[in-house]
Amino acid sequence: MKRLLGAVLAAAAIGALVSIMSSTSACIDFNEPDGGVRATTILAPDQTAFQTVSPVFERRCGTLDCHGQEGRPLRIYSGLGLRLPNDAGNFPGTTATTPDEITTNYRTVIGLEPEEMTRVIAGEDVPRDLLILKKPLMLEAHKGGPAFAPSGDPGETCITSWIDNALDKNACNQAVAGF
Amino acid sequence: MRHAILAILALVSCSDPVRDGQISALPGENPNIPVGEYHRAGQPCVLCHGPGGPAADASFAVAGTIFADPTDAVGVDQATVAFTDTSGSSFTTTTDCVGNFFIPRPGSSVPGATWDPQFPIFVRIFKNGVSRTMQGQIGRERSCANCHNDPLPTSSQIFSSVGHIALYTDNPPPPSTTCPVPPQVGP
Repeated sequence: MKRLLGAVLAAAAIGALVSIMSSTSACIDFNEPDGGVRATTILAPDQTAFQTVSPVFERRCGTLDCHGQEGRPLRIYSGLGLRLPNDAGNFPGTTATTPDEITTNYRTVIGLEPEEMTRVIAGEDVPRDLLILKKPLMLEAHKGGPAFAPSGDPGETCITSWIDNALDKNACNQAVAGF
Repeated sequence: MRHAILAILALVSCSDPVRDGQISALPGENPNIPVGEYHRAGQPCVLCHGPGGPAADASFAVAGTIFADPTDAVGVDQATVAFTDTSGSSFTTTTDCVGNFFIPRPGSSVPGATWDPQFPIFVRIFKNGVSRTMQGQIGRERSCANCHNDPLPTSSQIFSSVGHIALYTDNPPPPSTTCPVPPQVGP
């Protein structure tokens, strides 16, 4: 009788476990109702053109005491600031920003608010809706204070033109002059 | 009862655990150097000499140490440190014989002219025709040594530090012989 009771309890436990697992997997369904697979597409500005834009983030945002820190969001790598760990002897202040660092900066910038960036690129929102402009313009609280002038700063012009796929190289160069 | 009140006061008192941790991680006072303008050369001054710090009454706008060369921590006496802030305001000061310089904030108990810079600020150091200009801006850090520290070669700090500030790249002048304390960091 005891054996029978034990077998019944074991079967019940296994049944409950199978039931829980099947209900859990039912909640994690990556298939869309129409049979397609769910995917998240992010729209982002041009990566090649970012080579001209990266110095603006490096010089105006990425000093070692601001976004050139490992523990800070929007982490920016640069030749004069934080270096991407490497075996090539690239230390702060020794060599120019490397292509790998520019690529990492690009991913940092477009990955800060991927959904908002997508809306801006799609034309639903404007560049000033992005944190990368709201913060330096002090349209939103920024611990580092204003990093761009409230209007007409070449840094904003550079970033906005990049997002609008009409890169203003002169503005980008002006934005880093003297910094 | 008295102990209970003290315990409650300790719990509700304001402190910044990050700053407290940074301060406790610093090397201690050199017993050969009294607390004052010559102490703690090469350390991040404004951790203590800033709002909320243990030396907040003697707060600094900017402070640091100028060393002679990149490898040895020997201070440079009477080097000029010239700052300009983003609003165009300038301030110039000079180092003492261990290389320390400090600019009092308005309201500081430290005597002398005060400055309240608007960040970012830019800086150049010079002495006897030798000068070095910081290539980047200072975004908001008031202690030079927070970035200009000597990196530990075995840690990731090597990728985030520019080393201590050095005026000369080679042939530094001899250290001060009239300094009342040792002009170099260390025992």
